[in-house]
Amino acid sequence: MPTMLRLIFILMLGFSGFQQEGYAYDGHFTIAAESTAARTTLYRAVSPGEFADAVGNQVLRPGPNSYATGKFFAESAEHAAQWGKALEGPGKFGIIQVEFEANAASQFMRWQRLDGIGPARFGTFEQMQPLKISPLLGP
Amino acid sequence: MKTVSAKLQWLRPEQSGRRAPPSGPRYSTVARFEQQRATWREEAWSLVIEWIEPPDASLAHSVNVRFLVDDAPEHLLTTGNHFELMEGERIVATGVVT
Repeated sequence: MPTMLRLIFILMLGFSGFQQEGYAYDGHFTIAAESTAARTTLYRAVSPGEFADAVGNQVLRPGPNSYATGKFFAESAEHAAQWGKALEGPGKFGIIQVEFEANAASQFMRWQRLDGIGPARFGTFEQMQPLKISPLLGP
Repeated sequence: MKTVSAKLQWLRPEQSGRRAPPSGPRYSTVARFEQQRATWREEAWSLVIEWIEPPDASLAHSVNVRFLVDDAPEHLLTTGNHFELMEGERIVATGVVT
């Protein structure tokens, strides 16, 4: 009986703690993250012009000599920097951090590995509605 | 880094292409060679395109092409090999190494 009481007490404490932190109990006493507030953050190496436009106006749009239908993104800032270096040359690019609704970002086309660097995604302008664009590295 | 010449044909908007070719003289995007079709979503490589001449009235022109990075499969840049330039899932141009 003392063992049973202790088990109930531990379960009650644990469950109330998880509720406060926004987690859910799934019947197996494992933690599952909520998906309602889920966001996906992606990264992009950009020219000085796109950096100013994206950060200043909080918008992603086609440039004069860029993709007409969407934008490529890296899944890490480090990979974005590698693409920036390859495309623009060292020190000639900035990096922006872009937050999307996770559901929207999951619709982007994804490559497991691009250019031997890492995973990449392409979002069309129709799919892209960035929640927030932040400067990560200035050009 | 291996650079080869190629003939490039931009697709028109009604063919799912862009409204107009990029202004150039340099453009880079993901390429899909015929030999890569089965594995393209797992591993893909970008090409850098440099204009030798501007696109003509039929949106075709001669260009130089090379891969963006050093470790790319340069054996694909062989005369006669066909490739597509992609913006996401959309083919924006087709090319052949000359």
